[in-house]
Amino acid sequence: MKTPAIILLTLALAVPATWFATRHFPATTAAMSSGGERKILYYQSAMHPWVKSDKPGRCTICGMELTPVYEGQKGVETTGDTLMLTQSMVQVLHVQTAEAKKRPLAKTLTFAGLVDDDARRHRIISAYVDGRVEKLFINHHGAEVVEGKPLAEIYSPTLLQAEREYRSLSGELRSNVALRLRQMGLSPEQIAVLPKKSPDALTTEILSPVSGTVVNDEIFAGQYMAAGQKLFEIADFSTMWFVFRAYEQDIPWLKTEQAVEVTTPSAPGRIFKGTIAFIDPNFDAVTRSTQVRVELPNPLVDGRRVLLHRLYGDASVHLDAPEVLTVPRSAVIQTGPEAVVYVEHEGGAYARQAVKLGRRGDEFVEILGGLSEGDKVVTNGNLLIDGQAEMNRSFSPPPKAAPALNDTQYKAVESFTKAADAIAAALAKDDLAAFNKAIPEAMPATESLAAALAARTDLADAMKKLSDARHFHVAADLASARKMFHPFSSAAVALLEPFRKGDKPVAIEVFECSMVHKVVPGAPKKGRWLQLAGTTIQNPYMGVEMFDCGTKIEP
Amino acid sequence: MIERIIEWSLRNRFLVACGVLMLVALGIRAVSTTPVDAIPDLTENQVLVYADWMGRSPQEVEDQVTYPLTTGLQGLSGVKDVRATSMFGFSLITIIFKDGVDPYFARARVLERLNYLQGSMPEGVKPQLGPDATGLGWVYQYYLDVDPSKEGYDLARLRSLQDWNIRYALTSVDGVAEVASIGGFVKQYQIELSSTKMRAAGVSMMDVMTAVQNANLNVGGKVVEENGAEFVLRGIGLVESTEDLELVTVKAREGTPIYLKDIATVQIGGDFRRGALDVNGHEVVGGTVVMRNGENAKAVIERIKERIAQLAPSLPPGVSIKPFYDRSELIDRTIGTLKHALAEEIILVTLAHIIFLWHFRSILIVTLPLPVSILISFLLMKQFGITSNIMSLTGIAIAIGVLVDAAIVVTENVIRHCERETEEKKRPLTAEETWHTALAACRQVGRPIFFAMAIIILAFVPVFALSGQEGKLFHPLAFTKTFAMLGSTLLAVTIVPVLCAWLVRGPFHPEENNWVMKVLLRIYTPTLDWALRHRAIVMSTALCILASALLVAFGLPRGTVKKLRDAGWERTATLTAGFGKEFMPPLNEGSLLYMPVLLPKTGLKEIQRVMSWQDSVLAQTPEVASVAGKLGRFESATDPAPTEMLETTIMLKPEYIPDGRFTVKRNPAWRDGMTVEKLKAELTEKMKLVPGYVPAFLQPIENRILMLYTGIRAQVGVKIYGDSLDAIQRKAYQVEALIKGIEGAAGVSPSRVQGKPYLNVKVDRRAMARYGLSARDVLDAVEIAIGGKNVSVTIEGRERFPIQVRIERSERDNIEELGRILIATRPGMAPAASATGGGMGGGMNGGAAKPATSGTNASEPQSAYIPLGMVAKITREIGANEIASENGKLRAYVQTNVQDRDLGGFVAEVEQKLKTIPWEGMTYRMTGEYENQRRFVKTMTLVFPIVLLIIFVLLYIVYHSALEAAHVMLAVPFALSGGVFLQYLLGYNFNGAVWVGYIALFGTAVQTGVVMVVYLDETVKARMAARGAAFNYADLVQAVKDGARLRLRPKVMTVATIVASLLPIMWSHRQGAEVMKPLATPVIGGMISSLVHILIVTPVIFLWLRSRELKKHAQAATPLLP
Repeated sequence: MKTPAIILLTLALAVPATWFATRHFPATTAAMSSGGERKILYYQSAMHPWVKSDKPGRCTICGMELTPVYEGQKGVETTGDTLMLTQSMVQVLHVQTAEAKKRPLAKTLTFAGLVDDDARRHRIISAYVDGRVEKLFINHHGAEVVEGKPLAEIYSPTLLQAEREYRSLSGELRSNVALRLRQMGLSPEQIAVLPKKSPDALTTEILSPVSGTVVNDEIFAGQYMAAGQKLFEIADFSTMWFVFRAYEQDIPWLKTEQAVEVTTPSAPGRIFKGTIAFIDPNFDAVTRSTQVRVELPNPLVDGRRVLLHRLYGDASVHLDAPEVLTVPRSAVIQTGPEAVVYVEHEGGAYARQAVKLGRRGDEFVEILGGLSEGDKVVTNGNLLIDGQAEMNRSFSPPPKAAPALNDTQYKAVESFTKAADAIAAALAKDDLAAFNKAIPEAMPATESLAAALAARTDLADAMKKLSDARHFHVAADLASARKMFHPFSSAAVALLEPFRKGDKPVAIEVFECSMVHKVVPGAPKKGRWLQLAGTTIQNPYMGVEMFDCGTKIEP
Repeated sequence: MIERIIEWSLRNRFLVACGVLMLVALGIRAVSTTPVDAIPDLTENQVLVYADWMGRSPQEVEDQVTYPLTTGLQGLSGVKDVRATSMFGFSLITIIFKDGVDPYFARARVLERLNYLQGSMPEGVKPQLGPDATGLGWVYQYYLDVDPSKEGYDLARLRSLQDWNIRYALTSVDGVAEVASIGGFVKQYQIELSSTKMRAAGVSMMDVMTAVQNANLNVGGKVVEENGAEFVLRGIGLVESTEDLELVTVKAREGTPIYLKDIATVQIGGDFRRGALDVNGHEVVGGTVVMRNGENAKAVIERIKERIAQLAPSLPPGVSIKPFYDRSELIDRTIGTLKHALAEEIILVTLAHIIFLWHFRSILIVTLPLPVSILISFLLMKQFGITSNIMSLTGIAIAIGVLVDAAIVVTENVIRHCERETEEKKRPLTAEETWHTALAACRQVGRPIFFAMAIIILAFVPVFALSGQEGKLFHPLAFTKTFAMLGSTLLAVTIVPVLCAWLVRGPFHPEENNWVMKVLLRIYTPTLDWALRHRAIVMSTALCILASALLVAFGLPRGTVKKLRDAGWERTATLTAGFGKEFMPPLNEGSLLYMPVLLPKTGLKEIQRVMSWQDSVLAQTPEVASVAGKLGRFESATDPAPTEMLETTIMLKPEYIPDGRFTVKRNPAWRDGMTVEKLKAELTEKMKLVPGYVPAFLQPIENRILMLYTGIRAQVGVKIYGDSLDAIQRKAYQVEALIKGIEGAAGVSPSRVQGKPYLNVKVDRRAMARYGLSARDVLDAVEIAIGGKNVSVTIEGRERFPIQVRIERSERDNIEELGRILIATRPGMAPAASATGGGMGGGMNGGAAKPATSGTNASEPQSAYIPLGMVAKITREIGANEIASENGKLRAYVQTNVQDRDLGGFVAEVEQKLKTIPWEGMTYRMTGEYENQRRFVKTMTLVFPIVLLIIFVLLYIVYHSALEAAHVMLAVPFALSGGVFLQYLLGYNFNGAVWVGYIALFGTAVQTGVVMVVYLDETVKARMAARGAAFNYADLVQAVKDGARLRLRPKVMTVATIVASLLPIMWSHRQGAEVMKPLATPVIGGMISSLVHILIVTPVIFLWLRSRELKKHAQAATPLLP
């Protein structure tokens, strides 16, 4: 009896213990291994990425558990404009880049137009005399006519009378009649053979004056015609005009002699090449368009012409602009008023760059500002990179407004900004003398500012930088003046930026120049300076050369 | 009363037995008919109204659809709130009714209102009542799987199959509210117009639309008679193929018809779509079955599966329906877990009895009523409309230990009496004698049982007082537990005495012969002796334990913790920080839902690219069974997901699989040491390879509940109402800045509505006037030419497909070129153009021409064409992605949590600050969790004292002594300390389940305390009676010792039973156990600590109290006594 009891007792003790061990110990090891070495920066909500927390928990909006974001992961940069991608991320995203390059900007414009005949070679044959059409050689339109071949035989009493006279007369009189016959439409050749014409013949032939195609015939055999009546309309289809309308925005692209390729549904697969022969200077005010003409040769092939009269066709005009700085179109993201590209930097960094777009080509788009040649821009995967950047940027907490200044501090800041503004203004005008005159005021202003802000420990670092940079000496040339100015200006902006917000903002404007490195060797690309509030931009780095170049930084 | 019931039952044994059998039969029926689902329905009482307005921006939808609807739907009887969201192309309005309003009454009222609101809707918008279901009703999701060897099924064909065949077949299944499709392409006849050709033919967009509409109809012409026979006359002209459409004559010119094919390409393509489905990296067509509210999920899924099996032969060869989400697996598994746990519990409880009583027939008395009381609980559940789900069944599971308690007390008492009787009579009792003894014994314990049960049930009242989601979650649990308790109390006074009379027979084994008891007594006796001698030590130790438990549970004040942490006492700080808080332990659903949201500007194709990559990566994980990615929304009002939201349902292979025997084993597919949490972390890391979103893994049901919750989740929220989107957004940022400045604010976040890129085509009225164009003419180009318009619908047997008119892709797929789209000016309004222009190159045509051959005809008024860019300005802007409104006002909000500060003071400060800023015509309202907390505190400050008071009164009735009653109540906090320590060891946070566990423990602890004090009292009285006036301190100690020793068996037995009944939950690996564990934890820990407390501390306190009384008494009577 004791043995089963002991077994039972052992079980009763062992079972909870085992359960406890299995339940508890794996969990702790798991926690340890998943904790890892990486530092968690913050926790972020999946559905509402702007919800961030420094502690694990749930999203305040949707209640989902927050996802940890680790250091050095997924472009968690403080600026929000630069992202770091690991190699595997680049592969997953299929990130592809292309260089911003100077290249001709090819663009194809397409137009729809109509194939017409050559107006210069369009002929109407009308009746010169009253009479009756006895026989028609060309009795349908579309018929090909050859120059000098008869079109019709007519019976005209007037003409017949004249012919008879011609035959019966001679000398001076005869030549007078010949002139009359010419007036009645006979060609000199016809007149020359008149003497041989049978006196019984009642009819006279109308000969075609040109080779071409009948586009209109309004006469039938047996019909009476009055002088002046239109008989045939003949057009020459050996060269066709392709005419299309170009709208205002297309006109700057178009020039005469530009090559044009015309396609038409009636000749699938065939491309007719021509050049722009004429751009109508008579702009049509109603349709805001003008007509453009392209001449296309249209030889007879196997007895027919390929380009038919009044065919519709599509023209594509290939335009080549001179070489400009371009990036592939897929690199540009323009979901709002601003266009951005992502520039690849060393070590998997991708920086957001706002660009100014120029003309758009078929594959490339002109960049007017924001990029320089050789920059590598992302052409594939950039939308997702942009998404991450947007998340980092707009959802990163705004910088904390510094506690407000008291009145003495505010006064010190005011006198300092005046001094700083004077220096910047002097440099902007390339005025070395004014610069040298302005610097003696800057030093005491800086010192009194330092004294006024001495109590502010939160500003100590920034103030120290400014104090270090305040030692100006008389500059020999502008370059050295700017070299002195740069650290001073940067420190001043860094110190005063936080005070542009709040109840009593410091009255300054802040501007940024992106080409500082060109005038101050060794300096970063971008540099900021301050001016008094309400003043317009005056670039102290570039001087008169690019006086108003730079961007305004809003508080 | 109770005695009478007992007596009646014992007299009418046959009737009682019949009654019980009846209950069993009814209970079994109830078990099989109670609706089964995984978790309780947590949704608010709501009616959905949705209105589609294809292709319109959220702003248009808000202004023209949502606003008139929300204002019109207010003021219905019983409406709590009207919340609305305007999204791209549709408006979704949620009308929240007060709890208790009949849903069908509510729907009828809404429908009534909708009828007359229809009049204020723009043309073509029909607001509709959503299905009587919610996102929680997505119980079965499937896709159409195509055998790779079969070809010829494109996504359009599969979609047609889904839309016109499978969908209707499944919708007709009982209990299904709706079947919504997703993925593939809706087949569509597309007429892609070439503007060049249209101009050539002189055809306008309107001509084409009218021609198509007129070309697609069947008519009837009544009947025709011939020789007395009747013929039904039918005119047939419905479009059946692209060829039919190609031959539609748009215009006849000089005898030459212009067919549609002359100016357009007619093709079959896919309709505009806002959703796609991807399974394991391949695009598929699928659907979701939406179950009606309150249906039996398991039964519905079973019926669905049956229907699918019936459908299978009728599907085209190679096509089959496969699920990618099936909730019945979860239901089966969780219910299985509970069944398993119940079975194990019953076995363990029985085992405990065997050990302690060693009387096999009496075990039957205890075990038989157990299933019966469970059945009674089911019977009442069905009666009260409570579904059988993890929470309600957990209620039964945690009740088991207590259920047998009443029966044990009765049985034990009967056995004790019989034992004594047998000893006195020195012979086995006759049946008659047993009956009498049983009656006497039962009558004796009847009242205490009743009170004990009443206390346990009463202690659970605060759970009923929970409101909101917690209430919805825990009410079923509280109900079932109470039902089961009621059942067991009823049985304890009816069938248990009867069973006792039948089954209690000798021989009896005295306690001293039981070896377990021998061991326990050997330990207990000296311990108790020692404790009674060192009262101070015992008491102070108990107080220390209590204090440290309180410290661990609630922690030091936050400021002190912070100081400790700053001082470098990291471990101490962690230890004294108190338990964390969470809403609910998540149920392991065996599946994951991966739901990242990309930025709104991301287009469908890019999202699909990401989705396909994700799905194939996720599918490669060994633990993953299937992956189905959903982008955008199901075509259902229950799914308001925008396209940028990916919902990937990941079915995991079960972590534990049955090993063919009674237990489970770990699935070999799961890597060693892998847990769901680790898996989530691993997958999150993988998913982070794509930037642009934050990956997060949830579970499907968990997510649906989160999505359905429309309130504010943060502790404090400020809702801002106004009429201008910009203004309220600006105000939200202002409020954000304001709140950030307040001490204690954490995670302040305003709502954001902007973020969707818009391409605005704004008409230039001056320019339009020059051409006599109306805004309609110009914007038709936007709507029809660029966007495409469905002008008619083909009817092909059962299937219907839209016919769409649009211009060719090449003319509209480049944003820069959109300005070049040509618009026809009104004929005659541009005289110069119509006279000379005619068309392209018309002016070159020279003189008069024969009408029959002319290409352009001067007599026919011709339109001039101008590019869109000349009469409209096209700009890119960022606009609203989705617009939310509440009760007719646009809504924005700012949410914040509070850290290291008291909530009340924070709220007051926020309120005060909000008053200082100008509101410019906007209004605001403070809301958030703090409201719930306030309400909760308010309710609890009312309910808790009342409950305590009632329990106290009950105890007083039992003891007739306030001191004794207080003494028993005092046991409770000590009992709770064990729960705290176990909770700390297992690492659970405070959540709803843990709280409910403590509440359950509270009742049980009081009840166990009651019994101990009752017996101590009894022995002391007996000894006093025996010793009379000579009763002294030594007698008192002896009496306490005897009493305590006597109560060792029932005490240990009760606690062992309760612990044993919960252990199966704790060691279960099965699904669903994780929800029950936190519930069981405080009870187990608390029961053990309460055992120690009651066995050791209670006698000490008792002795101390009595000795003081004795001294007082002695001093008063005979001051000479020591």
